[in-house]
Amino acid sequence: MTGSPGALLRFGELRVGAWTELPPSELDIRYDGALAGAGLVLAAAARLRPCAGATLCGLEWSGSGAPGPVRAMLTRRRVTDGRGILHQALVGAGTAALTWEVELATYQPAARDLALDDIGGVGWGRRLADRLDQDEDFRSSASTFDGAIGLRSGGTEVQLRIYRGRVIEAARKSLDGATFTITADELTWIELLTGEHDEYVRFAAQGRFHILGNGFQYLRLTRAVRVLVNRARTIVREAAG
Amino acid sequence: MTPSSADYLDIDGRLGFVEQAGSGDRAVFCVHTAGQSGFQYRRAREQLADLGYRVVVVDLPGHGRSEPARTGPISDLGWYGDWCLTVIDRLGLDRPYLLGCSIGGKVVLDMAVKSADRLAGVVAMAAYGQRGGRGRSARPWGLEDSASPSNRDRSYYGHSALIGRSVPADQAEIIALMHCREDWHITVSDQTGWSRHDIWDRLPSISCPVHLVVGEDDFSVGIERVPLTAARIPGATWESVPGIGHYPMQELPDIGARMHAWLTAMPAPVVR
Repeated sequence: MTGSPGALLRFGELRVGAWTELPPSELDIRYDGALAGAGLVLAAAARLRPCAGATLCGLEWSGSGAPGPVRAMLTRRRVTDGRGILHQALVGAGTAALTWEVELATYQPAARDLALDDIGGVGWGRRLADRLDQDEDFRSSASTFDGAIGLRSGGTEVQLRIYRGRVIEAARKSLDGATFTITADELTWIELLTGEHDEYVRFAAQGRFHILGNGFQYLRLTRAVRVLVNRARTIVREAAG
Repeated sequence: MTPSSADYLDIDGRLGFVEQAGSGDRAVFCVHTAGQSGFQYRRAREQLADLGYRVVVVDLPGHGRSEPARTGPISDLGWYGDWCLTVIDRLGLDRPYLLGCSIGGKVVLDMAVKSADRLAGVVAMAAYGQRGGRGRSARPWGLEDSASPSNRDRSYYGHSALIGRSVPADQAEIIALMHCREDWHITVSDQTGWSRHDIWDRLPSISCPVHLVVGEDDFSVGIERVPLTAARIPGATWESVPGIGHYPMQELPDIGARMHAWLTAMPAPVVR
């Protein structure tokens, strides 16, 4: 889904995974020359502020901006210590990942939002673990594994502790750490889980996913990982109704 | 069913499997992808034979029903090119067209570099004239079972992802399952050959007609490399096919008619 920036929404009205597109004519670029790229990113950030009351508090940026439309996607929404945290990816001004903070009074996420709001978070991991633990394909494909699989989206990671095909824990960190961790930026995870087709192999071949830790065990669990990705996509599809 | 024949040729003391169909004057010589066999051309073979071609489909050494090479798994696509030229000589084919896909596409380009005057034309699918992928050098541990777990699963899922989105699910399943029957030592060596093979500097010397074909869903090739290759071969043409991945001869239901169109569009080769 692609929209255009309109009136600012409230935190609870936002939708993770939706694109907003901005034509270059709507960018108020304040810098040129050596700072042209940064000027484009900042102009886009100012125009694509995700919700009312959001304050930019983090920015990672690489690449250079070329004249053209800038697209933004909200890639994470979570609440930490009573503050709303939003992550946003900008494409078209190099590649930028923005973090916004929002003062919150109350916020109760809708059930449909839980599948995408905090990929790599412990809550997300627990929902996936519950699904995998009941899944015969996963239990069979991981039946000879004793270890933990880490799933990292941006800087957020959950580790699924697995023993003989059973997922016995989903936690920020398992006691012995992850045997291997499947890692990608937040935008890639969103595209993997919401895309019409399962693009995991394509994304991995393009280097958008990479593996940290024990590569041998990762290869050995090829089918288990494919089942895991498939079930994570299923959860998103079911949540969308 | 199209009448066909199958033979084993003794080449350097090892048996090579060759299947033929049709009896036309124009021969088409087909080379398969990494790890696979002439099975990939079963549909093309019948359709082209019905269109009046003599179709010759080989199993490269170590693949399908051909015995392995004496030297073990081959990681030099030029070696395969020489082997195919030997088969052409042994069968007495007069200026055949070549049709190859993936490593087979690179093999037929290699043959065109070496012997264009013996060919009527070349169609190379999912191939280009440079080193492939990251151009990786040999990884000796790659051929150790202890370092390569889950080859069957990796083959199944990896090749499934390379099939175009227009291909019906049951057909895609067959293509992926057939990859699970490979000797992965052969496949890995083929892939090493794909990565190393580089005829970039010799492409301008090709003097027979060349047409390059790439599926738009084939992320393993890098579509941008195909027109770059075509631009270096005098008179070469290229096209991308929507909805098709890495295996056009298995994915396109009308591969015979398309192949016929590609061949008839080629200019007549200059006989020297």
